[in-house]
Amino acid sequence: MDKSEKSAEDLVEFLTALRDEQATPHSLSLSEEEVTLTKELVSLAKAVDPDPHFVREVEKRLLALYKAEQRSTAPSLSNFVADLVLIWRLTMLKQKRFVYAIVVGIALMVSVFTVLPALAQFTLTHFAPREVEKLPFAGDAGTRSIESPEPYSSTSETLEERTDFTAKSESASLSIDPLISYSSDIKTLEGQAGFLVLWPRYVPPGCYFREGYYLDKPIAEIHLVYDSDNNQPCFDMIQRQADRIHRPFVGPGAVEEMDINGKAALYIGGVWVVNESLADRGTMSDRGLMITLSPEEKAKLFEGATWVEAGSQQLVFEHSGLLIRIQAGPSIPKEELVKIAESIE
Amino acid sequence: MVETSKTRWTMQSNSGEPFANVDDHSSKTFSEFYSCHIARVYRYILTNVGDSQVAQDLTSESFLAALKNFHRYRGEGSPSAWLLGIARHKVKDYFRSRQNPLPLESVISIASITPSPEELAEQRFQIAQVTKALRALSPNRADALVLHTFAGLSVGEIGQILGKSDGAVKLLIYRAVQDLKMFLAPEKEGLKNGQE
Repeated sequence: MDKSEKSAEDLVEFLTALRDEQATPHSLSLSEEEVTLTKELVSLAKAVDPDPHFVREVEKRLLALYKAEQRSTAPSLSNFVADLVLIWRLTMLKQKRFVYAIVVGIALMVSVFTVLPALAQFTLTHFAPREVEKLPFAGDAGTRSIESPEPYSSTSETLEERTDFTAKSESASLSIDPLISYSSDIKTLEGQAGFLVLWPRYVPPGCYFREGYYLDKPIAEIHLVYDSDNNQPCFDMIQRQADRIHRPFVGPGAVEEMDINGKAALYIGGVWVVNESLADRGTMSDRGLMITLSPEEKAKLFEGATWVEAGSQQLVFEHSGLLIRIQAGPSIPKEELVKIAESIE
Repeated sequence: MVETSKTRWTMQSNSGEPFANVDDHSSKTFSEFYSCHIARVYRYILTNVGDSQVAQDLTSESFLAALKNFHRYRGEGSPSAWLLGIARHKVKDYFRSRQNPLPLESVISIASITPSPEELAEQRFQIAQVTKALRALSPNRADALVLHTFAGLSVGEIGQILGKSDGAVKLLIYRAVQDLKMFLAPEKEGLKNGQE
């Protein structure tokens, strides 16, 4: 240690002791001038405090913002609706190969019924999966949190008018038809969604764009459906504005942090598999197609769920203000999902 | 495979006590975080900008940015260093957005310090002196000294912000004091002469 390093060591030791109001060390190689200046600096630092009124005001504002942010990140009804719509669509299409997607929907909708501490949180701003050993389901005594979709409450038709959710201990019903609109004209869907769709320049060989559909507010999501040449599902690209946080439950170790063109992305490998699908839950009523789940059915679905790594995969990332999920079955290699994502313009 | 340990997301205070779990997002936790750091952030900013109104604005902005990015804090490193790093960027942005820094002759009103007018006048002068002298120092030296003395960061935490080793940070602080000594000496002489 040379002289400068020794002096620096001594000065910092002295400064720290003064600052922390501890006994100052003896036999330091400091000049009287250095000691005086150091004492003055520390004394000045201690004397400067922010105005208490300012401190209180800022705290009040920050806490209000903090609470508002908490509300926006809490499990929302919109996720539940989105998942049921996905289930319904897959059911109607009779694509049994899409059972994996159905159970993904079940996993996602669990987030509506439970508010549990997250076991993991990852790098995306608007997508924060939570790793759990077992699908949490609070049961009748659990903490259910369904929120009014405040950002859309000014629209002419509220979510409550479209859906008929009742207390947790009762059946949950959902009228699907008004929420979903198909169109091969993406511009129409973009007009409904209020944002422009991003397109991949690359799709796996044999895959082609089949159709798009829009899930109305409060979901506000455009789904681009890609099938293979022989009309088998290839992948779905789901896009929504990155203005809220989606927090699905996933199995332990299912999330892998990735890099897509220098930006954070999450790869989720696996799916919750349950004992029965919701394929026969849809019934027609005067409000259109309804999906109804009794409390027992819900509990049974959740309790029997197990995470299967090979069942499904998703690549999630944010691009140009959108949250994008590329969802595919196990037949599409992970590398292909990455190539699709990297090609988005 | 990603790290899934909850400890990854648990913030540690300077004393080593966990003070916040990011996922808990409790108001109480954020309040504690705020109370623990507000004065440190304010002191750091005031010493750099020399104006209490600007310091208040930048302090608010720093906490606002911290709140908005709370979820990005990964528990890697000290939360104090993370927050002061945000404040440091705010100060830099402030000076970048101004062609000329605030004239030090402008009023430096330090609220809520000692009520004695004499003491108040003396401290205003000292803050002004220190701020003026700091602007003449190399940015890293000034930062190291202010982060340590006014913001209460440890040498290791300053190293996180500046990307320096402990030894390098100590040398920066030492040299800052040497420079400050040189800059402040004539000012002090002038003050003494003026008082006489």
